[in-house]
Amino acid sequence: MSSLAVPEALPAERTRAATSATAAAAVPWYVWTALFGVFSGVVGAHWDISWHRSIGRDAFWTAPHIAIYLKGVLAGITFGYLILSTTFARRDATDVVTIWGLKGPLGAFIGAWGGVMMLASGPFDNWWHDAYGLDVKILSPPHVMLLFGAHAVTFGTIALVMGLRGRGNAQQRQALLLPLFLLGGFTLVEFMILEMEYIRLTLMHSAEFYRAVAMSVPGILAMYWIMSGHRWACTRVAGIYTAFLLLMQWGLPLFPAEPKLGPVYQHLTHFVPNGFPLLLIVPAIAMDLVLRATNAASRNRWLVAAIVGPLFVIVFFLAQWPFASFLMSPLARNAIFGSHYFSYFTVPTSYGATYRFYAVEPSTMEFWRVMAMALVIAPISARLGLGIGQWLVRIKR
Amino acid sequence: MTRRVLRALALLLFVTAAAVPLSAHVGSPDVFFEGTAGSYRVLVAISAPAVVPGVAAINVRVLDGSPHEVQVVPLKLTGPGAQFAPVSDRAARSDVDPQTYTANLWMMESGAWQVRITIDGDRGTGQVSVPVDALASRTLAMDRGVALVLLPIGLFLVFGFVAIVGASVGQAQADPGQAIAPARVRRARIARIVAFGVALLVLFLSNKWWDLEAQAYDEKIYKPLALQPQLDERGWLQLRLQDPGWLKFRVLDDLVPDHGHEMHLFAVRTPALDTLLHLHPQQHANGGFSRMLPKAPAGTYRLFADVVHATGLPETAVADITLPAIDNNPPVDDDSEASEPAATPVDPNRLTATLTDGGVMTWERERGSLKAKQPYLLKFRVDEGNGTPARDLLPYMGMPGHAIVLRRDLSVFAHVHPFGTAPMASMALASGDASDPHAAQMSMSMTMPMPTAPEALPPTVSFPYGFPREGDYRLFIQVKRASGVQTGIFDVHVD
Repeated sequence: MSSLAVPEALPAERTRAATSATAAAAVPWYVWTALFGVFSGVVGAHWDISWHRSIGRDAFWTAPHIAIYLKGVLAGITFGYLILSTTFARRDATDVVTIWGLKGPLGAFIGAWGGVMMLASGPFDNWWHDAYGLDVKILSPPHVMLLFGAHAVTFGTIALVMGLRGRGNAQQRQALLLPLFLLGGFTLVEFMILEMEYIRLTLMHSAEFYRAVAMSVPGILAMYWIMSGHRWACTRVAGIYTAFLLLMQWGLPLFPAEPKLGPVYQHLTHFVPNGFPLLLIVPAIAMDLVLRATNAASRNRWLVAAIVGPLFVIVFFLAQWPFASFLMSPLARNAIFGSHYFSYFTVPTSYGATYRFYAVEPSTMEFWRVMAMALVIAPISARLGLGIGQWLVRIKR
Repeated sequence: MTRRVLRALALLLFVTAAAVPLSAHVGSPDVFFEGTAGSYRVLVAISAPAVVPGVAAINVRVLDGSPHEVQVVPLKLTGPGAQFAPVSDRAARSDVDPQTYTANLWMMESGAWQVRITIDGDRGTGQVSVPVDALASRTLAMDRGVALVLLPIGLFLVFGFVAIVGASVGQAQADPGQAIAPARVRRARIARIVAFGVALLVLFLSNKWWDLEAQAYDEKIYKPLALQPQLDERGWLQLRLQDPGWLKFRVLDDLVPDHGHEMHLFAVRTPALDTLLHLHPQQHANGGFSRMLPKAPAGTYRLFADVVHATGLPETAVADITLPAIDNNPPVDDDSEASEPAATPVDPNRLTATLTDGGVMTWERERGSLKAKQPYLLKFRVDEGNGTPARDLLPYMGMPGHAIVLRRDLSVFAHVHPFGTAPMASMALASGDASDPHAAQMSMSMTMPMPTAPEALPPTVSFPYGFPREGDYRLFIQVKRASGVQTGIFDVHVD
């Protein structure tokens, strides 16, 4: 990659404008193509879910499917190019790993592996529909295979960026922060899609919802905090997640759509979006403040995780619980908050359509038991995030 | 027979009566309909989805008029899902027959559906709704071709994962250009072993999950109502319908009358299929029915009990019962009994049947076999013994005729009317205001092809039907004449 990388160091006297111009150049083109693939994947996923909720009928060549598979295609081109060009044109490269005789950055191998996984899910999913009918849920085995592959492509891109940061100079490290935070926001979006069946509005007064969020978000935020070394990393990552979801929430209903599958229980004329973003930004701010105060990078990571994990759950609970009540109220049934959007298949007597919370836990006792589980899971998630983040920081190839 | 002997026998029969679970319109899930859509006469064949959600294949043949466009749309038969229609699909005109249109429609839930067909053409716009049942009936085993593609990819993914994990803790953390220290090499080896274990664990858990998903799906597969028959000491047949557990929407207290009867029971003597009883047991409790048996020879009978739910979902419950010779009165009301004249050989090329009143019923078709999965209009003519067309046909329970189709091995049973395979109660729901089943009941006389006064019907009667698969079939064709209900018995081979 030396041929693609920027000069070793920049003279200190360069102006700020020049610095930022060079900083942009410090991010190699393949980071942007891979990142665009990740972006295309999350846009496609949200669009596709909205498609299923608004139009219903599926075909292989729908626009959202193309957006999803574009992620695989861009991963294939980017990572494939990186591996092949290194293997055949830079046989003596030393800043790469060698796997099965092929040379390339570690991230490229991870991403290519994810691309293969994504492609393999295609025939499997097709067979699944023939055998068990069209799945109206997100988490079917072939879908999880696709999602897992898609996550691997994202993770490969993260590893690619971290490899560049690991061996780059201060300028490059700084320039790579923007792609890293964008990746962080998209990672959050991806995980929230994975958990979509557990984080819907009707469940926001159930402990299960908080447990589902506690499982992934503290880890992701902690990981990006460690990886970036930035004091507001969690806030930025959660901010990008929020901005992306708002874009989807306000953008999708601008496009016409009507159900092409029955039974139709709700009359609709436009795409329905997939819900207002969770208020992850609030606990993210709290995490940034506490991680900085505890000097997390140098402390015992178990101790740090034990502090930020429960902190995340408590702050998120305090923010999201009343906000969920607001989302259920008539005040939220407008284009901004979008509580009035329903899938065409939402039965009029359902909890969602009648603006009622569904209590997953049958008793108060059970509620607090699951809530306690969330408080235990969150630190484990945070510890995992800190560990993986630290490991990614050490990647140099 | 004394009462005591009868009672003992009844008890014995109750113990030996076996409930045989099969699906509604046993083994014959496809729907056939002949009728009118506005000013167009149509023959519709709908192949119901085998998995739910799944695709139904629609075939519309416009028998008269010149259609420009045929549109189809699926809706639930009753309830809130019947109110809003999704966007209609334009059916594709067949290259072979310009009067035939085909389309595929998704049905997303189990239960009673309707396909609304709209025809535009030289006779204006015409519309008709045909009921279809979406009942999951099977799952597929893994296809060998798919397995052959997926297996090497799976192996590549597992070993690729192991190699990447090894590289990530070994080489990747070494500074560029630096040799890989032995400690890192060792660590990479351990990481690869752990990664392999993790991959195996993930595969094992995924397989478990797959089994659970398949099991959850199996629970959605249609389970017909169970039927418990019992002969009581008075010579009455006592029947009990039981729900073996399936989807929640099926209940037993919502049965609606079909041709004025809550149950149509067909008892056919096995294995010769030489006697058919067509009875109408009355419901005295939820799922509890009884009916006096008419005179009938001893033997083992296969019972097919047709009922229709308020949702429009028809079901056929099946059971076997062994009966002694029944020496009761002849059938009363709408009940009927038909026996094949003794020692008639099974002959698929015999196209006439002698009726008990001396008349003759003729199946108007070419000799030879029919083809499976092909929609036919099965046409029958009734003549007097002297060959003149019969002029005394009357509606039998509101219909010009009833056809009972049985595959020799009893794996197929269908009860067909001149308008098709759907029960009249479901047809009424489809044609009327679907949100109110009672209104639908009221409106059915307007749409059903039947006269309101018992004046004589034409001497021919036809039934739209397609045989689901090859085999030997027996047909019982029932019409009502001044002399009473007459049954023509025919055999046919289907390729």
